[in-house]
Amino acid sequence: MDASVLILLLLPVIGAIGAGVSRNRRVADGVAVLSVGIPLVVASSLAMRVASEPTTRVAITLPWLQSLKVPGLFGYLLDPLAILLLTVVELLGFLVVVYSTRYMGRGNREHPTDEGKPRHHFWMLLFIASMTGVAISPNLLQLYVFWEMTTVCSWALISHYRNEASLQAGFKAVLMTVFGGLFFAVALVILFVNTGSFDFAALDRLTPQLRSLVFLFLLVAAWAKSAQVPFYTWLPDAMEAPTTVSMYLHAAAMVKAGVFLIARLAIANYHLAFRSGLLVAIMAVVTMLVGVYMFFFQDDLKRLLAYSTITHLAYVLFGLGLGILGSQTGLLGGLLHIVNHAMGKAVLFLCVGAISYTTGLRSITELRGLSYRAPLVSIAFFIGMLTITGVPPFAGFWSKFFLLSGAINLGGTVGWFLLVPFFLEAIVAFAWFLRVGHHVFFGEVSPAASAAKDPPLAMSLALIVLSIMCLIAPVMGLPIINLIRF
Amino acid sequence: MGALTCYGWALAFLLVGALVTFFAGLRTRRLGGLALMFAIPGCGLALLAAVSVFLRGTVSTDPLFTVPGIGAVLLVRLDPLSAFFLAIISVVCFLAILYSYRYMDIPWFADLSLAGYYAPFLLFTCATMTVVGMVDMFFFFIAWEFMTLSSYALVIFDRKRKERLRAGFKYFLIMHIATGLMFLGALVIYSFGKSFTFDGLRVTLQAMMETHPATVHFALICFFLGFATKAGVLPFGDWLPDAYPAAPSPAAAAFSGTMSKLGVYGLVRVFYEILPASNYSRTYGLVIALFGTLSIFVGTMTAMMQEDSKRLLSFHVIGQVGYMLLGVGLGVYFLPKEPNLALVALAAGLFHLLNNAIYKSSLFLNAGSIFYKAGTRNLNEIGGLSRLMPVTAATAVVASLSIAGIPPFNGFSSKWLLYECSVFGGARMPIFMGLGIIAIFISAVTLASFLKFFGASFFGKFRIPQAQAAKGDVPASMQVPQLVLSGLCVFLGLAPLLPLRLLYTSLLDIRPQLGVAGFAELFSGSVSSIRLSFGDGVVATWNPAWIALALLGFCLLAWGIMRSGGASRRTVPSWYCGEPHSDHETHFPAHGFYQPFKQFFRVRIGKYEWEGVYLSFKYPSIRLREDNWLTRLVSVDRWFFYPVVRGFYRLLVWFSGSHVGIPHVYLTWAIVGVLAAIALVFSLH
Repeated sequence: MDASVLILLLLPVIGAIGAGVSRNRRVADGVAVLSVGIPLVVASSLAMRVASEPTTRVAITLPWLQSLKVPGLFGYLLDPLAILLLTVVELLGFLVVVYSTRYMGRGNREHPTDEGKPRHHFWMLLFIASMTGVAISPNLLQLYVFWEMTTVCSWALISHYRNEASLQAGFKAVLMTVFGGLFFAVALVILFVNTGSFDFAALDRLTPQLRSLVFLFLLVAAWAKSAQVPFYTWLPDAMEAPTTVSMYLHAAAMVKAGVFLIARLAIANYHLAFRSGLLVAIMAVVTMLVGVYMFFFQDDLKRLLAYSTITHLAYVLFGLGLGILGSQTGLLGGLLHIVNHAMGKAVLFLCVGAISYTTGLRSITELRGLSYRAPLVSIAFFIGMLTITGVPPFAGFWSKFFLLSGAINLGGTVGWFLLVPFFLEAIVAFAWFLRVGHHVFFGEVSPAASAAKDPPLAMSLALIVLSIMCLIAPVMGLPIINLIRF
Repeated sequence: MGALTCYGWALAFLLVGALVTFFAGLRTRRLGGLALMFAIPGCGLALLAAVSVFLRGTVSTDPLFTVPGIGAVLLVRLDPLSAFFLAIISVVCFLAILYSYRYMDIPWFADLSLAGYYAPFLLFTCATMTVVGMVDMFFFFIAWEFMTLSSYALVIFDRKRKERLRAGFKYFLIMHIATGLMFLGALVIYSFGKSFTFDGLRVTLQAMMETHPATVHFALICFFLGFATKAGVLPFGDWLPDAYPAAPSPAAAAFSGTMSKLGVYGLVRVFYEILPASNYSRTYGLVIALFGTLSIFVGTMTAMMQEDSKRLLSFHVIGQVGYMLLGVGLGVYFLPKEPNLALVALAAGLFHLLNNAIYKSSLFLNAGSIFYKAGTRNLNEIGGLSRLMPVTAATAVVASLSIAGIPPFNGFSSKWLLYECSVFGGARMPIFMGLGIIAIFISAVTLASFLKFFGASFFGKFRIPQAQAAKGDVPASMQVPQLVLSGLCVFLGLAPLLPLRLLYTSLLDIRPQLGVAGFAELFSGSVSSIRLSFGDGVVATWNPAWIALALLGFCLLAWGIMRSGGASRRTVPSWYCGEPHSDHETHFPAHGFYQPFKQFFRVRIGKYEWEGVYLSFKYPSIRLREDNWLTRLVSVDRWFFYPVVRGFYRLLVWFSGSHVGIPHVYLTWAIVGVLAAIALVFSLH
């Protein structure tokens, strides 16, 4: 087990250095693919062995804290929730690296250069390693360390093209998420001073007032990280990043860290206050409505997807909020949505990447009739769209159903108060995505879209794998989630 | 082979067929044969399964799969009612695919990959068949939504044309909302009883009726809305006149033959099987019947105004589904008090459904044949096609007479039963009498509308917009489905008791505890005659065979008179009182039919316009300006983050002004700092 975890953590780092320093682009590609491919295999084998009994091992303590009798600080925790995020991180990491071997090349009409490729691989692999660290963290402290590492990586990746807009976007992202991170740090200090522990479950040992305060601080951190109202504005701006980065940032890494933190807390603590749960759920609903409202003004496909991510992270938080309020089905739905949204959103981003790769454009008004030129991309896009909008039998439906079910199980005024806006949001989002899909892929081929075609093999492969995952994600996710003991 | 094995293999064949045709479609356009290769065993086995259930009774599987976290179980059960629908689906879908084999060759579709047609079609067939086998609401809805998805793909098959895209969008969106509502309804009941199976839902509902009446109403309204939307009941079926014409004709035939019928199936399942007989039945029975009659009236009246053949038929889909709903509504209403009448009404509604599935599919195929030959759906541009395509004309006349309810064709038998039920129901609840009268009146309107459809396309002077049409009728593979369907129309018209027995017993089979009379007590008579009773004496009889014989006899008589008189047939040009007239002037196009009637009903108030009695208005397009108050409010950047950051930055700039490079200024700062610290320490102690 130790060896597996070491491979998961270190191989991407080694690969990052290898790919970063190599002068030859092909070598860089090879190293990068290999150093995420092996962890993917390892993570899959771990996923097979996962049981409801979590494996924890704390290896390293800090000498200056030993006097406080802290059992240990750094190590790993492999429980179903960790495995859930881990598989998503590794699978999407692998696919995004494979995809980027062609995307970050001269064939890309939007950015026809492969100059920054080693740099991209370097940061991307570090990003994957940090997310792995987040997923397997046994306590809040380690989570915080890796959490901030993802921030650094995302800053470098968002500013990848080094033009004015992307530098500004990267700066904005870092500023807002680090601001949230400060709340995380304060929460850690309060927690440690009062309980002498960084455990996820340590919140239960606080007095109710302090527990709510610490939870609120962690929630602010999660909101900033997961781009929720009122901190959501950095995410759409971060679309200046290469599409591969956007995809990974949205589907697997960074924003998922925020909801993962809340998921950890929701599962580990039994005594979170009702008002905390209500706050999570209400803010989630507000975020959903704000996000879906902003759909109407987006012309850039990627920005549209960014707002969609905001709403979908709100779905996850909505489920977690329902869980804290007492609905286990809702909690299940929220967790499942982490996986389902990851698959759906990943395929959508890669489709947009493929479109801009061949046409150099991302504008909804300019692109028309793509389905005649790029059938694979259009099918994949529709699959992704139906996934995130929750049309059966695709993945998103299952989690949406669980969320609905959770809200109804909760019952009473609160349940219905939360349910109605959620339901409306789901309908409006579906309508808008369907409209965009019709606009971009059907109708007469527009001049701008006439150059479109299906992307090269490496990119198509990622699309195909993800499209299949959009169907079978719940089949793989549900058994893992059902192992979680509440 | 057991019925379930057949059913399973049928679904497998269709599913694999969909995948194979899809991938084959990447290479070739000749997919019809391939699709047929899978459709023949698929539909054949499904039909076999249905027949086996009819003969041997209900079959069901053990739970195949349970969704962890919620109590949904994948259970397959084929009872006679499912088998009835399964049989309809397999026949109609097979005939439609057979028809497509040549139909899809028309130049109109030349630039489209047929993989986008055959693969969804096979999926659609598979999904509709799956729907009728599910007895767990959760999986029922999954199959249901899958059916919507595949039918949406068929609607937008011709995806270069804007109006079709718009129709597809509207269709999918409305369906999504409807299904979402139904999910909500099911979930609400589930949250009380923790079961999604039909039986479990019934038990839960029974328990909830006393304690949570509002919740029961909410759930039932959701179900009603969902199924009524699918069935195309007005005003929820507004999508239908757009979506059906957008789909290729065989697909539209399959939609009208199977999909819209499944809406009625869902209503029967929910309001007959799941809802225990109670006051709720009475309320919702009345609601169903009222909406049904509304559809009959508005749908058919609007159909009469149409000049596009497929749009005309689409409005008739709406009108005809109203008849079924009238029957179902009557049945549900009388379930608690008059179970005999109720079951007859339900059986009548479902019998009409069967008849409608046959003749409506046939009519859509006829419209397709016209399109195949003439290249247009506009009834104004065609005429006299009976000379070119006699087989299509003959089948179209049979189907038209059936839908108009002319004896001895099948449409009449079911309509007659419906009228009987509404009259006898009217004796107990007068409103049904009124509904029945509307239904009878509209039957005449249906006839008028089909006179137009038929007369405009097949009679009169020969004209088509295409320069020339190939000689002869449509190819044999297109004739066969039309012939089979019109044959069925005649057969079921002459032998109405066969399907009625099947339907009645299958309805009894679902709710055996109702305590109603057996089939033989209510429907006496031989194969070709019905003697109807509602439990106390025969109240009406209908004997199609005698009517048919009489009609035949009169025809023979007329023919005999003609022969004996030695009259010869003359073909001469029309005589216009000696004045020369061009063809254009003397042509009587579809547009000319029922002009005064149209003028009378044309209503316009402000921007709302009635197409006849059908409210048709453009959905308002909302244009949101990006720079409104709400956008400004949610752009937290603009009013909070940017000002704060800018202010902070300015503060730092101002503060950096303290860096002046003069030592004694720094010294002053140090002293001020020390003093402040001392003050702080003292104030704290």
